[in-house]
Amino acid sequence: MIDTESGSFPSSAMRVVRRLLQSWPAAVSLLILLGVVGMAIFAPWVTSSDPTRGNLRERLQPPSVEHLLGTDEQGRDMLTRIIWGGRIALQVGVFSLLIGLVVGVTMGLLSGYYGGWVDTIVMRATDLILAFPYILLVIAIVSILGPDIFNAMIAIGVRIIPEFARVVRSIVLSIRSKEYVLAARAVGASDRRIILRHVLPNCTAQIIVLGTLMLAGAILAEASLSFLGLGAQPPEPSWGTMVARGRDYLVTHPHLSIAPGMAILIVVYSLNVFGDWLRDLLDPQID
Amino acid sequence: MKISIPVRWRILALPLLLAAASVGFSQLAHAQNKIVRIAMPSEPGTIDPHSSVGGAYEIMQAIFDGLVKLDHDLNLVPRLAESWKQVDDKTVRFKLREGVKFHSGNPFDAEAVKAWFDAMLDPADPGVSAGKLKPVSKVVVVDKYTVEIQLKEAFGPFIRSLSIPHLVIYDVAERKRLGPKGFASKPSGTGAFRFKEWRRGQAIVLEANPDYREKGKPKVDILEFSFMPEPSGRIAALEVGQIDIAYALPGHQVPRMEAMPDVTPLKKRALRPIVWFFNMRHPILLDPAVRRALVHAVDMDLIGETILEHGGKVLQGYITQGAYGGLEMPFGYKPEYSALLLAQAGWNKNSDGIYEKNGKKLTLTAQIGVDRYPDILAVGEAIQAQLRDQGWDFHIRGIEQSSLEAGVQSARKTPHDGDVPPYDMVTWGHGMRDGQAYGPLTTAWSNAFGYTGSVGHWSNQNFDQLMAIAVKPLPEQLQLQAYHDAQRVMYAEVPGLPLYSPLWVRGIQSGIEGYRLHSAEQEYWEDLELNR
Amino acid sequence: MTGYVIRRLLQIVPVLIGITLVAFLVFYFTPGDPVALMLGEIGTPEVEAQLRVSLGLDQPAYLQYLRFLGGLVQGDLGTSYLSRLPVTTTLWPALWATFQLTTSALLVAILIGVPVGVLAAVKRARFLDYFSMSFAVAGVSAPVFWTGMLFIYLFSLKLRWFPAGGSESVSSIVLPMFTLGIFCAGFLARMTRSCMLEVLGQDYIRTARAKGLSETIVLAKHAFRNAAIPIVTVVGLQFGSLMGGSILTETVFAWPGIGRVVIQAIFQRDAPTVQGGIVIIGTMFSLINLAVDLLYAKLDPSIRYS
Repeated sequence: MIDTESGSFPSSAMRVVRRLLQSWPAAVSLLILLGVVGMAIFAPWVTSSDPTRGNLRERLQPPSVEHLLGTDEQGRDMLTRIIWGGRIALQVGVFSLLIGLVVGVTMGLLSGYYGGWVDTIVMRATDLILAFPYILLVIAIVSILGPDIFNAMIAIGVRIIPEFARVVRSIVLSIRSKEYVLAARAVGASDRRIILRHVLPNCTAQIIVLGTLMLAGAILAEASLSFLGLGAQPPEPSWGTMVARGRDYLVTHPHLSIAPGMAILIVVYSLNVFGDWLRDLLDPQID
Repeated sequence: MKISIPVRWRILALPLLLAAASVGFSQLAHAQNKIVRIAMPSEPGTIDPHSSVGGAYEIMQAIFDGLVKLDHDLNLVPRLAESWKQVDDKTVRFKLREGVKFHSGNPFDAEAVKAWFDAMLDPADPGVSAGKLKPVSKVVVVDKYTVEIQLKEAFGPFIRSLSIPHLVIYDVAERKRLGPKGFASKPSGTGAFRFKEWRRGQAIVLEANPDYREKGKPKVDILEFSFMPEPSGRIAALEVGQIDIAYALPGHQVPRMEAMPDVTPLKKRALRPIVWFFNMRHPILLDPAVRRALVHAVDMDLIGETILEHGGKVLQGYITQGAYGGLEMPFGYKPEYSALLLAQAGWNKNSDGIYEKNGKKLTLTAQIGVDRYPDILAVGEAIQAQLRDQGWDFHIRGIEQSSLEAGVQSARKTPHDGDVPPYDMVTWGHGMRDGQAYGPLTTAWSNAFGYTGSVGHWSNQNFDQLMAIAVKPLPEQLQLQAYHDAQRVMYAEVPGLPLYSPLWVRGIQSGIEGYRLHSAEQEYWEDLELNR
Repeated sequence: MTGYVIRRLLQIVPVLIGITLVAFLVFYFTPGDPVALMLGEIGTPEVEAQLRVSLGLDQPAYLQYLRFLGGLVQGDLGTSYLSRLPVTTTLWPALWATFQLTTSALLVAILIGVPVGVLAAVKRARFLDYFSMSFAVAGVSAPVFWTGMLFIYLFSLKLRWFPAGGSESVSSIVLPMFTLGIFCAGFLARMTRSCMLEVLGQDYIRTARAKGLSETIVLAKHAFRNAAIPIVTVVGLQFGSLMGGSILTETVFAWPGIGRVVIQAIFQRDAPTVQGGIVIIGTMFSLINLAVDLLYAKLDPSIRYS
């Protein structure tokens, strides 16, 4: 396990940047991700049209100077919709990640630190969540809550909880009896203070790595849900919805499905490459 | 080719070989017969006519027959009944065909017909479509091949209504012997094909009925219905000759199919009017001005020219043009008028350009059954965009048509005041399988007929009275007058937004003959031929 | 070992009960009125009330759940609202179809993923390594529903080599099998590579090389043998996760598997079928993972105590 006790923040940040410049795939993925985030944030300014408005008289047009990726069956500009789709993907990804992270890390900390019945309950709960294939659990939760983008976030967030809980718990277990924790306890620090000041900082590196990879999974899950019609509802330009709607026109206008799928692939790919690189960097044990 | 595989891989290869073999054997089983393979979008839950809620009528009509049928020109012609006579306003006497047998071997006679009516109307376990038989009061066996049906009150469309595929006659004695579950997996009717096997998830297979009443028919040995949800998949399968008939294809694929050498697209505009029924208990839609503003804010003609370019046809009234009793009376796209109506009703645009009244936005959500009608979601999305452009806070929600219908059914049966059903407006396409306007007008739009309530809870006494006249056995001119006046009431009240009637598109392989699309959505398989 | 087995077996009991509880919750909260779904347009209030009683829907939730558990013990997973037949009528054949798809996809994944992973490890930090690993990452990053549609477009609509869906002919399985297999091959390649790298760094490999054994023998006899244990585990775990991936693959290709049946039932609001499907998939998934754990513990004794 890692131990980031040494090194102040600025110097370790510098180290990360230096290592990043040495690995071009990671650097490129980070650039792509920053680009996608930028486009998502500034979507209203980088696109000229509303993603939900189209001109029916200009429907199903092939790519052209005016519409770089053509138009869909409502006459909406595909490029605009894909850029706005990034917004939805990131929103759902980040919010569900936050749910999973906050709840999962808390559960992991408590269960690792206190052990006993808290640990048993937390572990059985995570067992249960992990007893279903990822997408099936998410579908099951959404079918209880009703299909929309907000419920999709909750469902994906719930599925991510055990991933964080388990990793954090195992780290806590390994450092619970370390000297500085024991020392803090000896001088009478409260549990709350020990957890927040001594235990949690030791988990951050792992949490960041896991978060990156889980974000990739969450974006894929949102796309899958929307593809099945259980996520974003029309006219929201979710990438999964766009792939699904393009299916009817697969023979005549394949780009309607291919382009949004490409967007998913690029973002998830970049997250995976960057996440792998982070893991290698922060956890030298693997590879 | 000889490849040496390590033992551990061989173990893993075993399940694959088993898998391949199990798929392969089912292929080999029928090679020599005249097989017609039909691809449908989805697999029905059951093909037992007593409990089928839909999705299997095409298959059911191969196994079962009704007493009468509608020919392709919508004329009523005999089927299991040889002839019929209207004894008086409330009594019909059917003379049955002699010597017909069910697939089980049981005789088809007056007793069997009476048993069927009784089973459908059994209060303990009524047939799913028993609502269509609501006018029936009593069925009497006159002699072995004559049966008399007595109605509670005069109901003109009754005989025609017996032609719908919901009302095919099944073998009640056999269903009693096998029980509902047994019968569902071995149904027995009088149709040209009898049930052979149901490979769940894959195919329903029917074989020719050797004792079919018309000699020399059917002309093919096997009908095999398989299920492919993707339209593009069905077309591709048709193109490569994997299947012979593909159902439910999108209209925009017609030009592509025309270019294929061995494929012919078949098109037929359905009579079925698809309408967005307004929920008349919704506080916003209670105001007739809002309803009228909505229908005038939608440019259906533009949608017709673009999204429905190769598909359905925009409705020019609540009933499809061409149906008996329909009236052409389009609302038309008049955005300025729509804005005036809203302003008059107290709706004003806020700073975001959205209509508001007393601080509440003009928010409405339409439920769309996405899987049943071609282009419905695209049409809904186009309407949504148009209304949003004009300041409506308009949403659509796509769900499976069957669950949408179940939701509507349960809401319309509980007509408590003040209880708002969970939808503001809802897609409802009412079949006119007998070609007459009374079906949607009485069942979908009124509380006064049938077991069911009106879909959108619209109820109008004037309308009900006119329809009560229209369904009487009357001279045509008087009957049409009543039909048209009833629709004028609708035009004044605006209980819904008429959308379009779908275009049914199917594709057939060369060699398939005797196969036609029926505008009232009937399917008669006995004339099908395969010449290869 | 026996102690470990017993402990793991005991651990799975609450999970299995939890699965039935989740399945029941989905059943219970599925929107819509099943009686309306079953009776369609007709149904007098009396008939509806009667049906409600015979379905047990008039009882409180906990009684309904106990009733469901009671049925489960006797192998009764419930009766479909739509077909009015036992849900197992559709679920068992569907499970078999899913099994066909996942095993063949796993085979594809092994045949592609393991050699690629070994090769990448051997050619570490060289072009071939980067090249194959970037494809491996792409394999796990591409949404399966999209890969599937690309395959349909290329191999079915354009080249016409394979059918676009259904399960009617032997060749129907090819596209879904590769769609799912490639997704899984990415994971396997990455895992194989890192397992191989770990083994290649061990002392005995250096010893073997020092003894002058040929590189092929070193790789095949010493390195791969030892890397095989974790790889087998990953393969096993992948089999479980393939059940998840197969839900989308089956939907795209209309493969009549259990995932597609469940998705369809969700849309049709056929709650008993959804409930039964969730129980079956959850149980299979847990049992497979348990089996893999036990197998791994047998192969690698240190795991039992961690």
